[in-house]
Amino acid sequence: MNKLSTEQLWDHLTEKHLVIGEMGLVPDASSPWFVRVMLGFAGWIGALFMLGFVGAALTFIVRSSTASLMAGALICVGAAVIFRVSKGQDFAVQFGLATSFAGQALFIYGLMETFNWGNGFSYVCITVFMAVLAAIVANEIHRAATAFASAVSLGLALWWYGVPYLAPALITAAMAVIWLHEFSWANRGSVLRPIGYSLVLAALYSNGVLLMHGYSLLLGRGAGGSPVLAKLSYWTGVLVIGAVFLYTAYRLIAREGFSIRDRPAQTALLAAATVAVVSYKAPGLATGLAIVLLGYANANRVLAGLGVFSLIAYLSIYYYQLQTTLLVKSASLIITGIVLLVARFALGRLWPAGPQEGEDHA
Amino acid sequence: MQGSLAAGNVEQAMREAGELPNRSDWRGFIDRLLLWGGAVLLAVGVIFFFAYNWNELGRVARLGLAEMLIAVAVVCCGWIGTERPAGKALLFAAAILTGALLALFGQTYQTGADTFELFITWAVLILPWVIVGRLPALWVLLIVLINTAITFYFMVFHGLLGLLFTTEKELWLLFVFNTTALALWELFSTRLEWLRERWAARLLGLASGSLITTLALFAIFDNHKEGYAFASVIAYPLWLGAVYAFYRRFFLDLFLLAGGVLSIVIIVAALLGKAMEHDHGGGFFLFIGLVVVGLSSLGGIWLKNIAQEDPR
Repeated sequence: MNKLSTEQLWDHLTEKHLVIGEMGLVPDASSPWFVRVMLGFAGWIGALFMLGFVGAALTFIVRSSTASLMAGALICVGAAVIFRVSKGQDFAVQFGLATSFAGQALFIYGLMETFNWGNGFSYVCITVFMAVLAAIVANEIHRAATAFASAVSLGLALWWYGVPYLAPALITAAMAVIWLHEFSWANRGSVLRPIGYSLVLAALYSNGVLLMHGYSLLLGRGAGGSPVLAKLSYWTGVLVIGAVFLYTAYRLIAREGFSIRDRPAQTALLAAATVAVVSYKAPGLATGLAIVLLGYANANRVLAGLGVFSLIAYLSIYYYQLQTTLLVKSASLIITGIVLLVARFALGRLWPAGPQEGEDHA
Repeated sequence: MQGSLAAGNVEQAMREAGELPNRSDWRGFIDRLLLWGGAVLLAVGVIFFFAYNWNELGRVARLGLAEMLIAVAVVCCGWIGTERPAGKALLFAAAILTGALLALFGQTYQTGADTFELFITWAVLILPWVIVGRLPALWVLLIVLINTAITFYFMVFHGLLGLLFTTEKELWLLFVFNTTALALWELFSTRLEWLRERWAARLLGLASGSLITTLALFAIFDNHKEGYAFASVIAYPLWLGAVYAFYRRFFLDLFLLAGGVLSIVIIVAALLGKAMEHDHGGGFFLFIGLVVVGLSSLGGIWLKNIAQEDPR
């Protein structure tokens, strides 16, 4: 349909009984995503200097792991209060952000000192602490940063306990659930959207960087670092990611009104299932493709762009991952590529392009 | 009564507003996703295959295979035409495979060539395809190759005046190259519609901004004040002014303005840190932290106001 003016659109939606009441234009007070990212970076820079202040002026805190732990938690509580009472005032929000980041760093430092820098339980504590902050602090930048830290800590904890491949699978599943329900959970959008973005980044991290060293480090470290457990986690992870990819494709196909009996729907599901199977040695591909599909389906260019970025980044990191040889990796990529091209050929046959389609520039 | 939209109706409302893709949009998107995904995975898979250096496959077979794949891609592209998405994808795959062929050649015959020579040769060889391809991704690939070649060149030739001097020279060369590329991109995108991909211009702007900010940081913390440091002191404000003038006044791009704000925050924090370097009290850190918070808040307000005034 042609683009309507705001008034025309409101009338149209009223006729369709989708909206009720008079149209009231509330100015959009939110900033573009990159401004929020910039503020997040600046918040971190501010946090570094605040940490310097704690280190220089309050030395007794840094010298004791317990004091660091408690002071960090208290600073985070203080920051949460600042967010709540500031009512979105820019300086107070930015101050709260920097303060909270400094508190989180202090808390993690105290925790790591207590557990001699590296212990599965310390990562579990960070996961829970960050998840609580993501849930209770009402600020999108803060929510995205803490949810990302929580998900990455979960990955490190699972890596420590000898099941590294579960992290990307769990994160991919949570990410897909959030973005598949973006519209039906719209009244909780300010909570779920930043968490959804952070899970996309965490999926990229856990599929790529975390697993880059996971295999070799697993052999000698972690409470449950047995090869059998690692293998079990690998197959569980691969199955979950494949299932999530297939379920995402199925839900999006159903959302567009296709029946499972339609030939294009059957072909798409067959192609998705084949991609999930043949890319089992490179599960980051299914995760990246799922993000791209979800971004396009929700008309979210940032999410779709993150999906493309995650695919490119995954391919770059995948080269250096040690869990399999380059020959196996190349076979996995080539076969997946061929499957995609064959699926395109089938698409052209089963669902021919209209006169306007297929001529777009890539 | 203030109007409202129930959460359960959001999807339907967006569909009615034409914000969500329809079946026709989906068809085009899936077509492009399958085409580009397939082409890139195939090309990258071939690179992985050659990197494996499979001994059972003789050198002639390996080189022949790489050359055959490139030839097939180019011939098919010529047959399909560079205006169609499939032709562009084939040309992109051929450009990536050219790198694999060069690496394979060096690996097989132990040519002794430096890594930077591989990247520069790769860039030169694909240049004709980049020109005829009319595809932003191909131009970005070319620019990335030249950046990589410059980086590897300086890794080989450390120079005579020490690491810092060489690093600054390298950063300057990268800055000049990426800034020139950005300027040319913006200039030609006014005339060539296919070049109007903001992601590519933003990527170049990000590279240019990161480099000049790093150079300014070098200038602030370099006590010897070599010639490069003075050049950075002059170039940094000029770069900031140019970014403001172009992306605020001439062609609004909030992304690059936000990058400029972050750069200012970093440089001001560094300047204050340098000015107060002999004061190691806690107040010094707290003061700089508050300045960073204040500056970034002001920057955020400024950017938000621009976004609301001019939602282009």
